Amino acid sequence: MPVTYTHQGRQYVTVLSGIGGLYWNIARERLKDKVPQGGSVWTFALLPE
Amino acid sequence: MKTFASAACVVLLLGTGATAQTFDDLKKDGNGGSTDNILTYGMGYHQQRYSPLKQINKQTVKRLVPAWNLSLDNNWGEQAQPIVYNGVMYVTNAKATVAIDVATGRQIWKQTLDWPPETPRVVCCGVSNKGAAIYNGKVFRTTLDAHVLAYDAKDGKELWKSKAAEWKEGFSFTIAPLIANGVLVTGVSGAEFGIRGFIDGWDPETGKLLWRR
Repeated sequence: MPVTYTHQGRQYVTVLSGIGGLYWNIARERLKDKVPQGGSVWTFALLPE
Repeated sequence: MKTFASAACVVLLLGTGATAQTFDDLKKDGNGGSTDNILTYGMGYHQQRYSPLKQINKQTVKRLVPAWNLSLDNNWGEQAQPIVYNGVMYVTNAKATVAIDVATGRQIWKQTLDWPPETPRVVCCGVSNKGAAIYNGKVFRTTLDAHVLAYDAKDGKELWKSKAAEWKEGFSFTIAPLIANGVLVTGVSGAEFGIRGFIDGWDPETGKLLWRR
């Protein structure tokens, strides 16, 4: 689940990525060559204008 | 000297008070509290994930770019909602709890979990964790093998670990805990394996089970 928050006045959005769980059990054979495994924390912010 | 000592003590208490989350802080989450913090799963007790922030909007979103990325070194999938407090983010998955500096993405501490390797064979389909709870300087989480535990938010030291149920009977814990009125509340998973569900209340300080319903 993504979250959004501020740090020193700047807004950030953080979302975790990483295939797994029940869906991976079902789709492993179909997706194993297409979707890299491995969890990450991704944090986004606005590029200053 | 005694006066000096108590004065120092007061300063010390105020100092730690700034890093301890009160129930009032939690209640303000997503409800008028500081947008620097996300203290509850669901971004507030209303569980609506509402944020009043407006910097990122329809006009500015085209400038949205990655600020940092941190590998969690985990192949079991990521389903958690991060918690953020005082510049530190707390992230969970089925295998670990990680504290991260929100400014840089640097890992501050990481605690891995060692549930028995045959656990996923019993509680097969939900090898995941939905997130942590934070309260009074402690980070709380549940485990796949049906334990509840507390870490020191600052350094990740394990403070207590309590067994909630027997995973071999199909009980597993993946749901993010919630603090309610000073009680740590957790819920069980595994009804798809035939278990009867329940909700537990724990003493956040000691890990003692207070009630089960």
